Amino acid sequence: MPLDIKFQLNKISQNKLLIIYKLIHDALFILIIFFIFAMIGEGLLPGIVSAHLGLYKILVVIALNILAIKFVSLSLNLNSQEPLNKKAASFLLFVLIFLFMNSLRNLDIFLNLIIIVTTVCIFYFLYKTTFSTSA
Amino acid sequence: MKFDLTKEVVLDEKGRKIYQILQAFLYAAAFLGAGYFSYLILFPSRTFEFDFTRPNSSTNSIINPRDEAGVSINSGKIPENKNFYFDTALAGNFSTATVNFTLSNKSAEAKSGSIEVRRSYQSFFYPEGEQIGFEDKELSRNPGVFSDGTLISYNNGVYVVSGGFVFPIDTPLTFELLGYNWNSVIPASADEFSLYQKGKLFNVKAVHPDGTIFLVAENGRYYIIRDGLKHSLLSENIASSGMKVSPIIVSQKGLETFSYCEIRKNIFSARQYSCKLPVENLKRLIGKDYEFKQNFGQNIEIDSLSVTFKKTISVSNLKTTLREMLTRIILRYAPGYQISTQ
Repeated sequence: MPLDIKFQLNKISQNKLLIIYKLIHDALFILIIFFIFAMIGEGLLPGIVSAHLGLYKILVVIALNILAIKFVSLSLNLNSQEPLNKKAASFLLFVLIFLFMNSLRNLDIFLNLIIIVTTVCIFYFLYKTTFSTSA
Repeated sequence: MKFDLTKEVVLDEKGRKIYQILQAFLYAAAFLGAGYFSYLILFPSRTFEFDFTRPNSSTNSIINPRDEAGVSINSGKIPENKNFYFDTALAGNFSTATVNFTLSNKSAEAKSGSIEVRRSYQSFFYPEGEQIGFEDKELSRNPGVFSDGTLISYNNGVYVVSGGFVFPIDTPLTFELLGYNWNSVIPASADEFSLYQKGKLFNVKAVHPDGTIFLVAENGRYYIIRDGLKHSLLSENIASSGMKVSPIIVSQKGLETFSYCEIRKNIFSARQYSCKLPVENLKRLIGKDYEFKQNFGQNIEIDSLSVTFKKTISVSNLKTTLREMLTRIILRYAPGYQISTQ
């Protein structure tokens, strides 16, 4: 095959991959928004979402989506280093804390304190491990 | 307006247009999907089933298929012109109830048949027994401190006392669906609670136990449940003597108001039949239980039975669902707080 036609075909293929890359990011955004609302609904009214759709199924689709993003990034040789979006992270943290506190509502107060302290320690170490820069 | 989560990835002009069109389709599909999911949540349907080939299966959600004498029918065999009863228990109001059943291969065709449904509490549908008066000194057979039908609380749980047993109620919603009053709950001490054996868990399918007192709203008559019968009580004095529980309000109309349909064969199946009952007229009746009565013009044998309750899309059904959701949220976080459902 002549070199210029091969180049054109590669360029079309790369354009498609770029469009797919952008679309699967949009799909991930939609899935995460849906999951957040599903979790809040399920926290307030247990069974209202899970009676129709298992929450684990949403997580599986999100995981597959993330894998697809990784695969396409590797195909395109993209290494994006996005800075942390503090507003989004704060909102997600707030939702997480709300769901966590909601689930501890009916527990004994001392057990509650132990669970909260243990969870904060675990998350602190996870955060340090994930975001610490190597020496 | 451009919404781009990956601004660092720049497309050429043609690619950008294709992406925007596909992005619009994706968000439109997501919006439609969210709309459909909201429909499922705001206009929920509930399905109940019974498999006569596995009558003891825990997945059977239809309650107590029986004949007119109350004898359980687990084989699915229904004699000609004999009434066949079964119940479903659920929260909320619905617009239609569709009964579907599949005949066994050995069964004759169902050429004719009808189904009726009424709504109240399972134990209020019991046949009427003898009237109980002052002579009956055994209004309560309970050996302990509390009379049958009393609601007690112990260690974060609420229980119904009956026949030497205490039956735990699983959720505040079940408590409300059974028609109980939070003000009737009496705290019990450990010593008092220890006098009783723990019975099975009461969930939404539960039947009111012996000792339960009903008060008919229309005529002020009292009934007490005992041994599968409901006995009318002579006067309010008897009903309140020694009874530490508020009666459960019931409606006479629950016994008298029916919905009716004729069975039809499904077009695409030789052995499947259905019958669609409008239950909108039963909406204002008190009670979580729907009692179905089937009658066929020939001997038949059923393999499986299902009932699907559905709500039609309307503003009033939407308001009802939202009100029920709010009630459930309040019950979850503040049990005992009662809001008006009018």
